[in-house]
This record gives sequence, structure tokens and C-alpha cells, in this order.
Amino acid sequence: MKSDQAPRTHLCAVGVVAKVFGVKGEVKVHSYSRSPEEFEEIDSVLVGKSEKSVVGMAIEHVTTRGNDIYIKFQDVSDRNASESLIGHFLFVEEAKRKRLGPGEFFVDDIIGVTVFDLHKKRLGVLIDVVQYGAQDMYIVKTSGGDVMVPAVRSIVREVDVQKRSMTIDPPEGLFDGEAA
Amino acid sequence: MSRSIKKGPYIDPKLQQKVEALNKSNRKQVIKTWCRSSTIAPDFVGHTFAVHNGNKFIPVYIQESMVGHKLGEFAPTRIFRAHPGLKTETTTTPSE
Repeated sequence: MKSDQAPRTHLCAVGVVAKVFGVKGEVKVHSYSRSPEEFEEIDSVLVGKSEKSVVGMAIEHVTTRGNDIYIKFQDVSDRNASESLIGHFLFVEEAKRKRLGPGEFFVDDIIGVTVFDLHKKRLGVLIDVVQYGAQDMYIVKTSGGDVMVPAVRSIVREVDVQKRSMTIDPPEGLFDGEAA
Repeated sequence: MSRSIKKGPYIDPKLQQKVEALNKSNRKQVIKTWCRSSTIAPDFVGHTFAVHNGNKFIPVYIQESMVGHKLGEFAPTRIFRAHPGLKTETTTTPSE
């Protein structure tokens, strides 16, 4: 385990150590990613309670069982050492983030974008993304309160992360409250 | 015990009327409903329903894969919002 206090680029949390597993230093990780198998491609992570105090740790091996991820770090060889990692976040540098498919966005990239309708009328600001049973829901803060917008292509027409804008085509009644 | 096949699926008649009216006029309007037990009919695809979850109305956009399910399945009454943390890696994709 090497200390790594040098200033670095923005870090991105990819998971958190939930608990220890076994006596050989393995830990169970709760992943923030929707596809846990992506952990298998990472060879090292930065571990710490926050972005400001992280140490670099090399990964020896990763095992996935269902949605659970078990990681064995090279320098952690017993249960006592692994217990000290519980509650620590796993970070990767922004440049090493996984590549996203078309139309896929990191939540922290789209939070704060301004939401417009097809006529370029400003509707509000996207403040949160929540996962509901059917589809993701974008929470848009408007002057009249928060509005939930289903994240489907027929409603969310365009997302421009660079320009910080999102164009949507809401059905009647979604924003004005005049539902049938 | 499951519903008798003889009866067919339960589809709220008021909802069906509203959907038929919207389909005829070729409009898209949110349909507010408390009827969580109504089965989703193929006619509903492409419409957005505001389904009450006991507290507020949850907008549900109906997709083909939802046909045959109940509206209430997509508006959870209890929701576990994960423990606060640094959830920066989470991704979102507008579905088709």
C-alpha cells in the first residue's frame, strides 16, 4: 500500500467497501456501476474515505457473483487488514472512466443541465436521477416545484453535456399539471 | 389464486375510454389514475400515465414490454433510496 497524496485530476467513485469476505483479505464491494463485470478490467484503484485522502492499491483479483463484487487487493492479506477498509470508497481517475455507449451518460455529468422544450422554452434544471420500476426518472426543478420526467427517447430528445442542455418533448400535462 | 381466463384481463373502462379518445385525436396527454390494478393493454403503448402511489403521481411511460403487467407495478409505494454516498459512477440511458 503506497501513500498517494499528490494533487491529481478529478476522481470518480466507482464503489464502496461494504464488508470483508473470508480470512484471506477479500472485501465485498457495493458497485455504483450498473455492470459489475467492468471491475474485472481495472488493475488498480484509489481507496479512501474521501477524494482528498486516497491511497493507490493494486487489485490481485476480482470475483463477481451475481451483483456482488469481491476484490482481493495485493497488499491486503488478512481479515484484520481488510476490516480497516470497510466504508472506504474506491475511486478511479476521470480519464480512466469506462467508455459509455451512445445515449448513455454519467449521472453527475447531467445533473445541473438546463431543460428546454422543443420550442426552446426553458422548463427548469435537472437536479436528480432516480431509478423507478419502469424507467429512470429525471427530476426537473421548475418554478412550480419538482417534476418527474420519464427517461425515454420519445420524451428526452437530446442531451448535450458540453452545452449543459437537454431538450425534451413532454406530453401535455406533465409540466402544466393539466392531466386527463 | 389467479384471475379466471374466462373473464379476461381487468382493464379499467375509464382508462380505456381516455386512451381511445387520445388515439382518435392523435394527441399525447398524461392520464392521471388511481387505478393501479388495471392491466396494461396494447393500446396504452406510447402513452404516459400518472399512477398514484399513495402519496403522489408517478409518471409512467408505457412501452411494449409492459403490456400485460399492472400499472401499479411501475409506481412503487415504498422506495429505498440508497444510502448517501459518492454515487458518481452511476449511469443513465433514456430507454427506447
